Amino acid sequence: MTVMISVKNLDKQFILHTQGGTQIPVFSGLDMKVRSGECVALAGASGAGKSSLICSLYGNYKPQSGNILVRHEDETVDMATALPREILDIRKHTMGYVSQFLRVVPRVSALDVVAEPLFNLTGDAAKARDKAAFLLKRLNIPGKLWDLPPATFSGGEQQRVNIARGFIVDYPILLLDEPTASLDADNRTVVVDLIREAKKRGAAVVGIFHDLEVRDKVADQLFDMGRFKEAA
Amino acid sequence: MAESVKPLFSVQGLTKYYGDMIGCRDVSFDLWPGEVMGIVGESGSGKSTLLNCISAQLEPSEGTVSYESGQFGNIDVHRSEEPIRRKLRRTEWGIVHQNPRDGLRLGVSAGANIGERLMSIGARHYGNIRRNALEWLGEVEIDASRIDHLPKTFSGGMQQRLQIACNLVTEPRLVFMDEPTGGLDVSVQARLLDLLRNLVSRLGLSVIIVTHDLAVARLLAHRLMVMRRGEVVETGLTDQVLDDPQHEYTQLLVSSILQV
Amino acid sequence: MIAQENAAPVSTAATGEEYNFAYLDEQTKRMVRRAVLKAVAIPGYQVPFAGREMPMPYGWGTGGIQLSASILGPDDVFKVIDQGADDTTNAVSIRKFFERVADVETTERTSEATVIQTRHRIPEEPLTEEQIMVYQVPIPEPLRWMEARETETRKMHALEEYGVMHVKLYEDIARHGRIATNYMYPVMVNGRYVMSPSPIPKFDNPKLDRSPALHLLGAGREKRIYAVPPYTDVKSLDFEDHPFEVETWDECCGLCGSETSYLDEVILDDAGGRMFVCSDTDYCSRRRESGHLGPMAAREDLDELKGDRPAQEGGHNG
Repeated sequence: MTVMISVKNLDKQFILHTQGGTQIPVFSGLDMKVRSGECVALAGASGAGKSSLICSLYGNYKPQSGNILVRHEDETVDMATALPREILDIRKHTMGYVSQFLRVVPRVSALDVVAEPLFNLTGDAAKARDKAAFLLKRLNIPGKLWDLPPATFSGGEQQRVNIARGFIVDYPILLLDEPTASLDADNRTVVVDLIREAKKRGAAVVGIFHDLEVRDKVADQLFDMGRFKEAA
Repeated sequence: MAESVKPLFSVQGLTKYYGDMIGCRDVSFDLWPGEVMGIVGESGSGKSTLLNCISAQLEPSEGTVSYESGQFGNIDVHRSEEPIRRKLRRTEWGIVHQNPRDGLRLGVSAGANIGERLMSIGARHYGNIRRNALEWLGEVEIDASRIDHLPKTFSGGMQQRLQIACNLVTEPRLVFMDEPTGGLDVSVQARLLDLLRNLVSRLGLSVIIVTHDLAVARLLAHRLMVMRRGEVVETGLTDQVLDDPQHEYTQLLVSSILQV
Repeated sequence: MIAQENAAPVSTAATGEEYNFAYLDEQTKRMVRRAVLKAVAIPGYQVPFAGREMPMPYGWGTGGIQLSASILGPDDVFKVIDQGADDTTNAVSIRKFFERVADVETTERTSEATVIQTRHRIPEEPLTEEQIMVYQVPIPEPLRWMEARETETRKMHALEEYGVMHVKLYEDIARHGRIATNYMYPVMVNGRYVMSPSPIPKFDNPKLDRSPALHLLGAGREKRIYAVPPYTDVKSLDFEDHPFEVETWDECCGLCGSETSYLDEVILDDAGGRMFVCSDTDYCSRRRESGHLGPMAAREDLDELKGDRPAQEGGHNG
């Protein structure tokens, strides 16, 4: 299968200038490949740099050195050096991301929060809303909440809105940071199904799954972060 | 990526001195069509000086600003004739001032304020001008019944929304905003931000927005330029700069935000 | 008009005092004439000039008087109107001033005059190529209403940035359903400069368009001269869907029966009695002389109106 993500010799550390230049190494010399239709689960103890890797892959964190080669519309782009507008284009077309927490925008309804990425991609508001409604329903968000801004939702409801937003576009690459953390069993099953469907249509998935049952249901390989942490 | 697309706006080596004082020094960047760039930094960091220079409201000491104009082709902004700059400001550019009073005529009605830009480019049909004004009042969520009221009877938030309508009515390609949410209550700010976010994405505007408020920058800007003492210390994708700031000063700025 | 230089002082018979011909010294007249030539060359453009102190306060027509003083020659016939009438205080005193300092012939008859100084009206009788109109202008800058800075208004004229002029007209329609500006109604001269035609009623604006006469406008306090040369296009600003219109009246002139002239309303008594009469007194009396009579022409109690109309207050002139 096509290699969608190829990470080469990636180094990430934090330098805290406000605390006397303290250096916090995260990982070093990290290599990784993720193929189309495959789910790689990041493994390692808390603080092993799993979230930092996901953030680096998404262009949210800036690695010190190394490459993050991503297949984007028949081209290979290095996320580590890409221009902001290139990263935004990759996020629009190629790479979806479900973070642990929903970043709420004031006054925007749950339905529109979910529909936004698809609308931005296609410009078709009606279809984007239809699909958003379908996903919210699948994730058991009561219809009466759809028109409300999610700021006042419970943690679990916000997380499900976030998941729906991440899955509304059929991205070739999906990054999942503990998508099932605050979900009940029924909703965990829905998320597992969503991930499996994404893999089936060829998505390359990188995820952090604390829930081992979920992890075993979706992951094709475990990627141990520990050794790169030691290297750093 | 379509590499044939050219930057809409390009700033090279821009420097502004006030006597011996540095307003801003050696600033360079490209802005691409549809891009929203935030310029952040504390008061006195040179943000507003930079904005005034690049929007041709202030003459820089050194450097060039070029703009890909729909009417005039590629122009060197500060070396072009003044009529061209003034024409740009009325047509392809918008300038949203922090204080709406700087961008509005307080002595004429809201409708006339919106209509002025249209009339300045030759609109001579009252009915059409009025229809346009009503449409834009709707866009910025001001009740149609206020069209004949003077802006001085409006709240600060309404005035700011009116100023935005006045700027957008001629469908500019590039809008400069100087602290557009400064001085507004938090709830009023939220509404304005939401409105701006929608308009910018729907109209495909290119925007350069100066703000000291990192939350505003996160919500509106695609990318950020962080300034300190007149110089750019860090640039990058908005969420990267805010979530993984590299420069000492950016880290200080980000860590200084009060968490709610 | 400027037939010759009149360097020699004239002696006025009434007092024996000596003034230079037409009061102003010859150097000043030349300076004013140069400004006039420039104004004629650039129709509608406000030419700054070094206005002199006149023996009367600003607001009493000092701009117009300096123009008249600079262009009058001994053979000219001079007419002054104020509010359309020749016999109001301001008109009488300006007429007497030039009778005394220039010894020119004066008249109340439009057709006989070669120079007509005015503030509020253009005569009803069509003007000819032999005539010059001189206007006393209070506020020459039509953009002043929207823009207070002189540096900015000059730039706006230079760059033809006239959109704001329509803002005022827009406000009129929004507020009153029609363009309610009745005086100093802005015009576009020769397709280039927006000009304020002094406080004439908009009724008179069409008379400026392609007029055979030369129109000179002078603002004493603001020290500006501008002009509409003969046969120049003068278009009143308007909207496509709210075209320029002049005032109309349901009544005709009570004295001469004219249905086409500009009418003033006159209150006749404390019981609400009123009538409309021509604002142009010369025009009205000519018509009556040639046999046109209005519905109230026979009333003897209106004699004062017919001939010697009561003098109105002067002042507040440019």
